[in-house]
Amino acid sequence: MRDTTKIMGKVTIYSIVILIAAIFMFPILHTILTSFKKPVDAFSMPPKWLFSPTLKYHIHIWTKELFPKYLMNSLIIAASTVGISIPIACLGAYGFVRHRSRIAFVVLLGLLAIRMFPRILLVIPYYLLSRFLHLHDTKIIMILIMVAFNQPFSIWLMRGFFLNVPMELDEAALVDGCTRFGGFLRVVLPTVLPGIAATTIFSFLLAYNDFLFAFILTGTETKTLPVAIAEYGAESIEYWSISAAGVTGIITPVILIMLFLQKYLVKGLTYGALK
Amino acid sequence: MNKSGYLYFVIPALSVLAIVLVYPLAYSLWISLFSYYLPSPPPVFVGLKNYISTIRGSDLLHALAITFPFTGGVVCMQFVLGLVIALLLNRIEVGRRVLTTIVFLPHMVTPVVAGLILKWMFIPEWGMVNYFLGLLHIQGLPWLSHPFYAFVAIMLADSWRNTPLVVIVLLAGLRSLPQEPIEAARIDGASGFRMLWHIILPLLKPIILFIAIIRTMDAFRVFDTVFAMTGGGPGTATEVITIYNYRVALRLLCIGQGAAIGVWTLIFLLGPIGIYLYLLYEKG
Repeated sequence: MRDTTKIMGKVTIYSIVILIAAIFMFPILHTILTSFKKPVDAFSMPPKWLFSPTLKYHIHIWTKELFPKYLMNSLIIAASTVGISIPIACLGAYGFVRHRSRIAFVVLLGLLAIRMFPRILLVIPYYLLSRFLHLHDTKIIMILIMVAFNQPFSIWLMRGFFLNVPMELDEAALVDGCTRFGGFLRVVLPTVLPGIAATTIFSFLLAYNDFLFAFILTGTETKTLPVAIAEYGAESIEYWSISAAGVTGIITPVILIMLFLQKYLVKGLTYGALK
Repeated sequence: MNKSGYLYFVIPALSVLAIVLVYPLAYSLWISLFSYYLPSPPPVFVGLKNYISTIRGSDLLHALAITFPFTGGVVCMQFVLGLVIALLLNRIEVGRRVLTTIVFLPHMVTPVVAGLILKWMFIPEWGMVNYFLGLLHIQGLPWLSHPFYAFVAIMLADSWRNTPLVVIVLLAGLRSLPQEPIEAARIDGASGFRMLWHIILPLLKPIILFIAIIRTMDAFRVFDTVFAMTGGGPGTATEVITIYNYRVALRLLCIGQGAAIGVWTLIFLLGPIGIYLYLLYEKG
């Protein structure tokens, strides 16, 4: 008797969880399906779940439109952001951890606060400065902004990992004749590789997902994928299948990151809440 | 050992931050004291006039009247939903990882893309939301063209993308809870709701506070998803403060006023930011 209740309970929980997962998943799946539909199938009501798929729209956006260029822009900006910001953040976090002082900690908190500020307070000066300095529609300004914007959280995240590195490790390296920097590079850094992985993913996502800064500061030359897709989606709805193909293209990389690097992602997301 | 040698390590990070973050912020505060219509410079110093005129005008109040309920609504909705889902996921063993991954997926979608996808879901004629309502014999709603339903739709869209974050954080919290108090309570005969209310929630309190604060700050600053979904419309029915700010600063090109609205937004955010920093300070 007890067993039956228990099994029924399990079955109920599983059904509810699966239903919830299906609801969360549905908009993504439906969009991906739409990208393979001809308009006649896409707009049919009730929706067609079985249809003859077409690759036409995927081929269209990657050959007839400038999507490859936008993707390259997005990837160059995101990769440069990671490439510049991770070394700086590692150095910074390590410096803050080893230079233990109240002031250093307050500075760290202050940095984090800036990230919570309304972004428009930064967009306005960026917009004006990019015009004065002729940096409008260049990748440089986007990369600079993303690197800076990325620092506070990256430093905090890395700080958590460096805190676990014993001071003796540094001292041993110094005794062995390393300089401070050499010891950091050869002895300390290799022990925080999981932290670097987590920070890399977050920095990449921050730059890849950014819309507001790119929307204001990029133009025909440097437009990123989110900006391109937002403009596309705003156009006539006849292009639904094409837009859906664009969306599929844009979310595929992040979903792959999610599937393969989930462990590191969760580490970063729950950082601060746990410990 | 001399620790000040480590100060050199922070120089690159602090220089980038000073040039790209702190200086522009200061510039923004400065320019908010000017009447600056971009097409006709130069800016004219007007003191606090921009602050007074915006807070007295009806547009900012209107934006706040949308942003506050939006923030309160989504934070509550996402917390309750997130807690329920996290508790359910915590109860299952086989397949938990897979199901957690699926539930988490929406949070990986680029925010502006999330707005676009959800806009398609909510289109009355052939969107899936009205289709499923129809299957349940419920009359479809004019989601995006009706002020109130559009407001509900942006709340649902934000929740679709952000509830998964709440789930992940609370689930991680649940899995790291100490087992002794829970076992002790179970032996004492506590179960179900009483267990949740008297044992689990108090133990989770720091984590709940953390995620609630993060969500409050982010919901108050929502832009991308709403921008892609409704653009603030119909009319100005979903014009949250950031979209209003964007319109004034970068569409109407009233730079000084725009900066002042940004500072107002910051002032409203100071409370949550303060709590957040305090929490981190306590831990550090």
